[in-house]
Amino acid sequence: MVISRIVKCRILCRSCALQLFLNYKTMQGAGYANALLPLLKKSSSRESDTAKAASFINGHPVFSSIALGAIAKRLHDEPQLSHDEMAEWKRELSTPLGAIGDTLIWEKFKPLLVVIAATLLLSMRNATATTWMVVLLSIWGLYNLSLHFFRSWGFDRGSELGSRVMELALHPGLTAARRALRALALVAAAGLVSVSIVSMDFAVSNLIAFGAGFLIIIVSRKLRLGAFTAIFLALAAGLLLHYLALTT
Amino acid sequence: MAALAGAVVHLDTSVIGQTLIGQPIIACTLYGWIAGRPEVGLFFGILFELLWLANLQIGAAKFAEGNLGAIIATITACEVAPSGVTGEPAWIVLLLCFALGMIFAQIGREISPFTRRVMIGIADRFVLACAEGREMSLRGWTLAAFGLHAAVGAGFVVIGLLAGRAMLRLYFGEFYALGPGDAIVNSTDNVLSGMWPALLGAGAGAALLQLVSKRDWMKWALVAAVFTGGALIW
Repeated sequence: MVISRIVKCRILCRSCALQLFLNYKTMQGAGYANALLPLLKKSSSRESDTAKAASFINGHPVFSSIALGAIAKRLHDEPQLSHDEMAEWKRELSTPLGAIGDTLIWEKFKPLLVVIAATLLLSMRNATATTWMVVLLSIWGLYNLSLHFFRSWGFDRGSELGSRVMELALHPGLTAARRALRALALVAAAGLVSVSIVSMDFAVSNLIAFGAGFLIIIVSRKLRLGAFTAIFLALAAGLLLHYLALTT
Repeated sequence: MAALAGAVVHLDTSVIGQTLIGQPIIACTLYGWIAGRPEVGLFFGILFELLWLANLQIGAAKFAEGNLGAIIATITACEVAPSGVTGEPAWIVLLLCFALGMIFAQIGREISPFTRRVMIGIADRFVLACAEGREMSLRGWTLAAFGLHAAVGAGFVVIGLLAGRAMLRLYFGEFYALGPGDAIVNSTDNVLSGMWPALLGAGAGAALLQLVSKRDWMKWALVAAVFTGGALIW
């Protein structure tokens, strides 16, 4: 199956709206049908292919490019595939798509970049607002360019592998990416603490409040407190200790 | 502008693109910059971004609408004039707006279940139109879906802003845009100035929990000590 660059580009652009029709019945199913519309329009069995494309599936929006390529290949190469077989295969695909995408991007890559952004902005808090916007634009560009290249790569791999697309879960690049993100995340989290402490000019009252907020969040995770409760506890403790440190 | 900000934040957070523009660190800072209060935008942008690091929107789970809460806090605070005493946003204003943002983030947990239930009907009709090749219907249902999300985001932020205005007016007892009075600032700024380090500490803790697994905490502490020591020397 050969997909022209223009059609691939249209599919990938439309995949950015994968969650436009997100619903409890088919989750991203309708979004997949929307993304694959440039191919479905040319299909000789449009009704059947649309139903297959729109059946239940849920995964990370960026990793969806892999699934889109694989689904496109199967729709083209396996017209005899029944709706139920396609639906079953898509359900099986949902778990690794979601798990790998969520752990890599939502839990590591995105938080890593925003922590780097926060650290840079804290260190440049005396700079002009225009400088802040340049920093944010750079982070935004880095994030979106990386994901754009991944989407393009993912679609190509998916459309090569088709039904064997789950082999990508064993791709050596995943392990390398996890290692790299782990190292970078450690440095970024350490950098944030360091810059935060320096930004408070080592004032004792500020350091005490900072420490209180920090420890309460760590302990509240152990105690399984909700985020809302933990944040307000951290705020209350920090305010109290800060005030006591100022007045004693 | 508040409605537009709400629509953009909600659409980018979970509907179209997820390009980071809806994240507090970009949305709040950008809004503050446009509104002429960049320091307010940066304040909420950094704090909410770090505090919501573990607020992940995964699968069918309910989640706090942290991004919408953050933009509500920013928009409300940007409407309050800087304190006549310090020339900066008074801490009491920042604290009240922060609380407003947190509360609305929690209320926002009901947004995604609502839109996902409504979207069942729209998605079904879209898929039917797609299967039957009805181009005009396709566009119509796409616009309907887009419009629903945009309206929900915009409406939620406007309601949050109105609630914020009512809260500040009640608290300060005068037209909120003039800012809190000198007496209020003088009596509260000292006590409440600990808000920034406390929440920054909480955010740094959230970053540690999200980014670093427990087995790497010793390495993290070592690197942080080296960085801080280096900064001290420098």
